[in-house]
Parts: sequence; structure tokens; C-alpha cells
Amino acid sequence: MNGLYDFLNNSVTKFPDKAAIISTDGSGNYATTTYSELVEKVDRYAAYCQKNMNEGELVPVLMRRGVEMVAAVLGVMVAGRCVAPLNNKLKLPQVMQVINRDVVCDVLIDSAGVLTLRNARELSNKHFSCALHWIDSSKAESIHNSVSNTLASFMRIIRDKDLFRDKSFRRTISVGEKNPGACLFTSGSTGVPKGVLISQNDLMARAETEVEWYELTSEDALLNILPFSFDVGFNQLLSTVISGATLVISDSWLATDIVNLAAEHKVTGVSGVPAIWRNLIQTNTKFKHPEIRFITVSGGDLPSSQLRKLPALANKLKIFKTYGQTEAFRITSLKPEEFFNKMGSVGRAFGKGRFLVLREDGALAEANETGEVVHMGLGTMLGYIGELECQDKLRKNLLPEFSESYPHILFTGDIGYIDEDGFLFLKGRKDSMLKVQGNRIYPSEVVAQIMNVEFIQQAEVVGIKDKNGETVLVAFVRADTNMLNERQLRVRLGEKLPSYMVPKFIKFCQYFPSTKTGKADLYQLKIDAKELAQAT
Amino acid sequence: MSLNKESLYVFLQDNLGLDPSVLNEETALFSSGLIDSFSMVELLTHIEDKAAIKIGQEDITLDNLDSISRILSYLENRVGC
Repeated sequence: MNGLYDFLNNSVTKFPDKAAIISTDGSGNYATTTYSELVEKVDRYAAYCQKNMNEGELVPVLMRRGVEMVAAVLGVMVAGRCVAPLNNKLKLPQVMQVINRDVVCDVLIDSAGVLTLRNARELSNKHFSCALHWIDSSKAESIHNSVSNTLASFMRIIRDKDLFRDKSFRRTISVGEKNPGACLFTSGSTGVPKGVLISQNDLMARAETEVEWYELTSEDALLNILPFSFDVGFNQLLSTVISGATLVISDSWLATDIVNLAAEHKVTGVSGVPAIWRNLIQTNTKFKHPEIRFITVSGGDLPSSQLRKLPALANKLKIFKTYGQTEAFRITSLKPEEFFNKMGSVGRAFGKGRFLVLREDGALAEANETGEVVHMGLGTMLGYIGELECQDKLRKNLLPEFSESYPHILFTGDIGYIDEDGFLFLKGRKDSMLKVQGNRIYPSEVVAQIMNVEFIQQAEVVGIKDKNGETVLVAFVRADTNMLNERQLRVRLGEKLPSYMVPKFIKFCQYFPSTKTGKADLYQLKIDAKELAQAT
Repeated sequence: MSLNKESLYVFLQDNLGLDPSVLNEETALFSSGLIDSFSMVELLTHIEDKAAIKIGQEDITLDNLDSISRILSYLENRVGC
């Protein structure tokens, strides 16, 4: 069975002329691709992959986020290969870490991707054995020819005149249950990206669950801001095509662009990360059209002081919070009707997934007892790509009540507790837990208290060892410095926190180094914190 | 006014570290990921200072700011300079 292909055929049979994808070609002009046009493109990519790429290959797609990338990603999956959608904003070293792997023989790439690779020769003298299938080389400007000639000297480049002559995709692909459909690279804390393998079955199940959870129909138009290399963005794409909805792909994260684009295309739902919502709130930007019905807060959380402002973004706006990680797609979600009463929670199980909180000895924690969050079922990864062990992360399920239905159990590395009503509350990352003056604390708890102080816009807290080898807290804070200074902040915090939780060093700054999904780059912040501590 | 094509090029290269070999008037600055949100704030501040204007929130869009030529068009349309 090939679930994705069946879904696509279903959508094209029911809604051939409906807008599937609305996106730009890179120059700011939006164009519409109907379902029948999209599926024709998907068929071409699938036929091409079937003919030129072997089974079991990992096929990275390095293209700008638009209709061609969508067709390429879906085409690879329909052809039964494992697709690795890459974030086109990645820099060269990160891209090379993916395409240099032995399991990669072919890469689907466009002109934007070729530009990213332009300095590849300087990075390594190794002769690359992968073939770059350049899908739009005939449309590229002459500047690219010099770049491509350089690349051609050590990478095979197949230009678009050779591509897509034949669109007869033979539907003989039957995708096994465990077959990886996609590999999403997540930046591990060590800095080397880990490839998370997800089965095609699980991808379809996630999409179907999302359709149900957000009550998606073909009348919906979803705004895509998040990259397809991120599981939230990827699932948004899949749930759109299987429900026959429209996906509007935004080039911009700017607040004004988001609300304008949403209004123009009568968008009904937007999935965003905290950075996006924080930006809207702080620039006092609201949606301008009546059709918007829901938003999601995914890939992180916002403090209650900011969550409370989200309903004001639009009339009768429903808010979904979601929690998960690349290895366990969506562990929980908080529904709109639960938002006001359980605002600090990340919700209850998403669809058929199951989560628990375990004590250190592996036993189930009681209600309100803190432990590690574990996940089973829907959304669980197959494993990491390459020789990477995942024994600590994905383990054999030894819990007697669950092991028959769920042979594996995913250890999230997040610490939290479940309240009496079954709602999950998170305290922080297990590996972020610090011991300050003998006390166990989670930086996120300190951040939460800082965020409750008036005039604070953003805060991050890290722990580092000072000159005496003691663990100390360093806070980075963005605030309205006309209204609040360090001394005043310390007084406020002292009223709410025990002394060992008040950061020893506080730095006011305008900018926080961040990752590709807008999360604070804690690795960089720790470096900055060390410098600060040494200098003082 | 002291904001023109050349001075923008210089600012983007010297202050924001952009690679001159890929930078032309039409190069997408934000939507391509060449400039992140922090650099954008620096760029906006620089434009406001040099052109002696204040850029309102409703004007912070890719249309107005995503390339050197768009920035220059935006400024021309605002004030006949």
C-alpha cells in the first residue's frame, strides 16, 4: 500500500482545480498550483526517482521552500525513497554534513541550493560521489554557470534538460510498514546534526491525526511559515494535501507580512513557533481578516504573560499548544477549550500516542510527582540514521502493561509532572538541570519568573561554572531599559525567588543568538555567559 | 540624503558581513536567510539614521526591504529623495 499516493489521488479526484499550493518563485510574486498541477509534478519527480535512484537511498532535497520543493519531497516519498528535506537557510558546513553521508547518492537541488554549495571545494578535498540533480538550471542566471562549473569539477551535476522527460510513474511501489519515509535532521546539543528516521506509515498517521485534531477540511487554507525540515512544518504540508486544503507558503517571518498574506488568502490556520507569536505581540500586530480560526504554538512555550495576549490576535481565535521533539513528533497538545484553565500545561496525549512520567528507577510517577517524560506510539521515530546508537533514547519497553502494544518507549529527556486531571506540565530539560548551592533547579523556572516582571520582553538563563568552579546562573534579558534596570529587576526577583535562584549575573541585551527554528541558542549563550563571568 | 546604493552595499558587507560575491541589487536579504532578525534590526536602524526617517511597523515587509533595490524604491516612494 502506498498511503501517500492514495491520499494524493483522492484529493486530485475530488478537487482537481482547487488551489493546493500558493507560493512565490523567489521574486515575491505569488502563484497558485492546483491539485491536478501538483500531482502532475509529483508524478514526474516520482518517475524520475524511480528510474534514477536506488531503493534504500536517502534523498536530500535542498531547494527553496515553494511548490517545486513540495512536489520533489512528495515525489521522493511516493517513489518509496526516504526524503530528507533540508532547510534552505542552512549554511554550507551543515549541508555537507548531510550530503557527505554514504547513504546519500543523489540530491535534488535548485539554483538557491547550488548557491549554498558554491564554496564546497574549500571545505574538503574529498571527491564527492553524490549526484546533484539541478532541477531548474536552465532558468538560472549566468552568474550560476561559474559556480556550477566549479562544482561540476568535483560533483556530478545533472542539469534539468535531462530531467523529467518521462512522467509515467509506475505505481508498483508498495511501502512496507517500517520503511522510512523521511529523515529529519535535528541539531543535537553536540552540534553535529542527527538524522531522525520516520516511517511512512507513521507520517501518514500523524497527518491524519492532525486533520482530526484541527478539524481540517478542504475549506481550510493554512499558512506555512515553518521549514519542511522541521517536523511541525512537514506535518502541516502532509495534513494539507491529504485533506484537500490549501497551503500558503510564506517567504517572510515579519509580523506585517504574516497578517497581510493571511488576509489576502483568507487563511484559516497558522502554525507558529514562540518567536513568531512573540514578534506579533510585541509589535502589536493583529490579524486583519475574519476567516482565521486557529493558531498553534509549537516547538516551545511562551510565558503565561504572553500566552494571555494571544486570543486578542483575532476574534474567536482558537489556540492549540503542542509539545514534542523530532524523535517523538507530538507528545501532547492542549486544546483551545483547555487553554484558559490549563495555560501552563502542554496538554494531554495527541491522538493515539501515549505518554507517561517515570521516576529515576523506571516506575510510574504519581500525580504531581516530577520525573522524566516518556512517549509511546504515534510519532515515535524508527531510530537515528547511520551508526548512531539510540539506546538511551529509544528503549525496549519493559513496562508490563504497555509492552505488548508498544514494543518501544522513547525517553524525551524532558522533566515534568502530570496533574490530577492528566495534564502534563514541563519543568525543563533533564540535562539543563543545575545544582546551585546544593539546590536542584531548572533554568526554565527562573526564566518563567523573570518573564513575569513588567517590562521584560525576553529572557534566557544558563548555568556555568565561575572562577571558583561553582555553578552560577547567568541571565540574558531583553527589556525596556527606560523602565527597568538591573537593580530593580533583582528586587522584583528577590520577592519571588529564593536567593539561590536569583541569577548571579544579569546582562541586558537587544539580541539573542537563535537556532533555525527561532529557539535561543543556549550553546552560544553559555559561551557568552562564560566570557561575562570571566570579565567580572 | 546620505543613503544610496553604494553606501548600502558597504553597510551590508562591512557591518553585516555579507559576502560581496553573492550580493547584487536583487539578492534576497531576509527571505534567503542571509540576514537574521538581529541584523535586520541593525539594518533598519541604519536606514532610519541615514535617511532621517522612522520606519513604521506596517512598512516592515519583504516587499519594502528584501533587497537593495527594494529598499531604495521604498525610500524613493516615501520622500522624493
